[in-house]
Amino acid sequence: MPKKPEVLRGTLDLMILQTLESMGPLHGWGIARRIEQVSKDLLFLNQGTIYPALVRLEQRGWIKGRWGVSENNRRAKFFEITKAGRRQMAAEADNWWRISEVMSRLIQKPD
Amino acid sequence: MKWLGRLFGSDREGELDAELRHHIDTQMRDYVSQGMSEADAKRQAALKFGGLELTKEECRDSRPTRWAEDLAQDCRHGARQWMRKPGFAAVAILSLALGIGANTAVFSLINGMLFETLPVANVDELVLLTSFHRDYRVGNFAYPDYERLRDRSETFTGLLAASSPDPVDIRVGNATERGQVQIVSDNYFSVLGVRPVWGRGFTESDNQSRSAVISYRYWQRHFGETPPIGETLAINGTTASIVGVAPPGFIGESPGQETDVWLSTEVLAAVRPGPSDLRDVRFVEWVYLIGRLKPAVTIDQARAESTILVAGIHEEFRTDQNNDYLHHIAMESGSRGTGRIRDRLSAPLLVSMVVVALTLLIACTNLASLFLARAAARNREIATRLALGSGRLRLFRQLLTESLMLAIAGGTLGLVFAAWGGRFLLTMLSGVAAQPIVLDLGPDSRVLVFTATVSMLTGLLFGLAPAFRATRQAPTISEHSRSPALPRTTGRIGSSGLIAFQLALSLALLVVTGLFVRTVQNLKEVDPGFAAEDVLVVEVGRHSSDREDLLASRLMDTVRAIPGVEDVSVSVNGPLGSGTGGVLGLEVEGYASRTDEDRRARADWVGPDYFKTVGIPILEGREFTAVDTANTAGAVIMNDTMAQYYFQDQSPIGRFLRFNDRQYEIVGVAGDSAYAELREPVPKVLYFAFLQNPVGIGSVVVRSSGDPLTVADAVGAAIRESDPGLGVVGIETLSGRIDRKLTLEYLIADVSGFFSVLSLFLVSIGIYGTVAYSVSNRTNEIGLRIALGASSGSILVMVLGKIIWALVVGVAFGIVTVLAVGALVQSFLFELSPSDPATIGIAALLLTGIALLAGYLPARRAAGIDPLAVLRHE
Repeated sequence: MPKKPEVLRGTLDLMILQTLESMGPLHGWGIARRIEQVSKDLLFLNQGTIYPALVRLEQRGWIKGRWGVSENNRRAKFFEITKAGRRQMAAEADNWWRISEVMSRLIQKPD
Repeated sequence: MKWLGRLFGSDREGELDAELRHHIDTQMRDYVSQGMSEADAKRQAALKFGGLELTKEECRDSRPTRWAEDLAQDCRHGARQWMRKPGFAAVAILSLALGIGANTAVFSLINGMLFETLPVANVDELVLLTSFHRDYRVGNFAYPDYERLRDRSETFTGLLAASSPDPVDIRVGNATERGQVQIVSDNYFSVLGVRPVWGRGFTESDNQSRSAVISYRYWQRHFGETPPIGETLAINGTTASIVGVAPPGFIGESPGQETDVWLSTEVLAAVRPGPSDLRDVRFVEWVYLIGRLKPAVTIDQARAESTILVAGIHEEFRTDQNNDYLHHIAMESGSRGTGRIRDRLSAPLLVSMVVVALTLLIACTNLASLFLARAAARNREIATRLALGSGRLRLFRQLLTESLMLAIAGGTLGLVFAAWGGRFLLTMLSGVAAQPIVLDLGPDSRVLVFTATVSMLTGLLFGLAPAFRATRQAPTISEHSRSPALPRTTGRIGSSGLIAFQLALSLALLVVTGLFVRTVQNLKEVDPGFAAEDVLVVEVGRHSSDREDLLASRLMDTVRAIPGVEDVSVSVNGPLGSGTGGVLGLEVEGYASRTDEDRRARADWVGPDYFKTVGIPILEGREFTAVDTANTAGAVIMNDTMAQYYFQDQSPIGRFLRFNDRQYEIVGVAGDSAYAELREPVPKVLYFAFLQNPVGIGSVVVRSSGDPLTVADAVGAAIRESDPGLGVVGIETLSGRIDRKLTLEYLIADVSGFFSVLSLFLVSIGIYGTVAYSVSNRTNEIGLRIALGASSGSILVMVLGKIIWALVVGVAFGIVTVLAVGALVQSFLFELSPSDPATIGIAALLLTGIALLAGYLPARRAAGIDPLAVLRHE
């Protein structure tokens, strides 16, 4: 298995925001799963790393957390994007497209 | 403020844990649904998540209140550590409390005396005026000069005059009590801006009436709650009526001195007797001046103006400015009031400050080595935590917090010690100043800031090195379980270096103490010039009498009649008295005066048989006798130094001198005796016959046939009988007075001695502990060597090697330091150089002896280790 490159912090924040924007409120595992699906498992992601990012994002007011009940009737914390978060997303989207070109060159399937 | 609530309220940890666990569970369930076994699913889910604890830590890091949570956690952890080793913590806190407390005590005194400003409004406008005779500091002023300065100044809104506080007997109602009084000008309270809480301050009308303003404390003591306006009090027979009460908190314009009663100048004649009214003459200086500057006027402008005013005064009185006490006026900020006490005591206070600071430094170094040793013992714990991922910086902060907590605890306890210590020191200083010193020692903000700063610095000082050392190690857990390995060479140099540092400081303290002790000895050996045994000196208070000469004669006759009394006489200053008497403007016949010194001499006015009573030999000519009265020709006696000065080898007997427009014949030469201080070289002293110039009896001297104290009561009674106005201010033997003159030197020697012993104790403990610890660590090595045939001597050397090295370096450094800064203490020493080799040598030997002993005791056990027991243990 080729070694997977690590996710840049900034892009992780952006991916979380995008996920929440398109999927609506999700809990931590849901967000991690979705990011894996979207990046087609190409990005190396210790699932645990999204949690500090979630704390940061909540602190900055870009997402809001709420305790609720998950699909298997367990207590879980759900996150949803805020208006400020949407604005941030728009601002970073430009950056992302530029970086993604660079990244897509890095993420190459082995020949 | 939401974060505050989150800090103290919610169960954040629990929530975080629940959140993360839910994630892992959900992933596990996902794997199971894909077909994995439960066991595999659990493992894979955990792997995929990453480190649970690490993630939790990172989440915590992201929180903004991180530092506060960390601090709280560090404090809790620190407290737990100290609970586990209460003895260790107690010793540390106690020694810190003593060290910080001593520093705080001395500082609070320095604060009260050197920094505190007068409790009046706009203190920065106040200016202190000081008279100077060329470069000789006189200090106070004559009253007529004050009046002219006050009336003619354009730069001051007001200029006040005040005498120095005097102890007198005050009678209120039927009770007579000793109190401190000041004679002040009518604008005293208004210039200072002090508003009386009852009645009023002085006004111009009080210049013709005998009025008094009493202090708040005095009012409460004698009048309770009743307004005392209109009441009278009597001072030495003269009544004055009370017109006001000063506000609480105001006790005068001289910090350290407390005034009970302020009197208008009209009371002056009664309280300070003399042939002339002191308000009218220029030849007695007795008032201190403080002025308040007009707004937008600077002190430089006032100073410039004073030169013009002084010139004007001399023109008016037709006096010679160059030969007058008032040559020029120096001005400085008056916000701290007059500095009578301050000037006297600032030196011993500063010395004390240095001494206690050094001791605290030694205590810190001691604690640092203790902590270093302890940090080594915690190697395993620290290595484990580093391995588990704790950041080095975090660990460092935590170790430092432990030290700071101890320091703060020590500092807080130290404040308690300081309260007690400060009062004690104040009592000692009152002895030095020979009067009660009144200072508010309550901790004000400056003192508290000082204590907090010292505590913090102390904590950093002894906590930094061990914390640094502990977190620099690699995170490997040594498998030597029993005796944790000390870090190698660097560790050894570190703790030896600390010991060397302590030794150097201790040596400095020891040398300083030695120098002061020898100074005291030298001073005690000075020949005072009189026969001090069996002489009683009775200080007499101010009194009123028209015929002072008759009073003196009567008094001497009465006292001479007392059984046990051999001789009696009177004087104004007395032997080793307050020494403020001097004469300017002498002209000695046949001597061409060129300089100020030629026209100046110290003086005293003494009765018949004075020299015989006090035991000063008459080298030539004769004593004063009952013959020398106002009706006969003026007679003076010179001391030997003065005779040498003017006449060299010739005899001055029969020659003349002029003073104050009178001619005097020199009738005798007296042996040199110490004038005011034992350590001053003997000045030129001129003695006048009291009966010819009866200025006002200052003291009565009595030679007794036995112990002088046996006749003390009888003499006191006889004095009071001679005149009801005569009050006895103090009685002491002349030997006792000589000792009292040395109180300052005794005090400095005592203080530095106490702290030297304390620091020796601390250093010894440090050395003992270090060697004992080293021995217990190297038990195996030592046992092995003994088994291989090493002699006990070589074992001793091996164990003590560090200490010996530290001793050599420490003593060397100490000597270098002492030689370098010795010049600073030069002024305290007497007939001794600060680099006196004997003192330094003895101190070095003493220190070496004690250090070696402290190291030898535990080292001896090393030599006695049973090698078989050690090997069995392995």
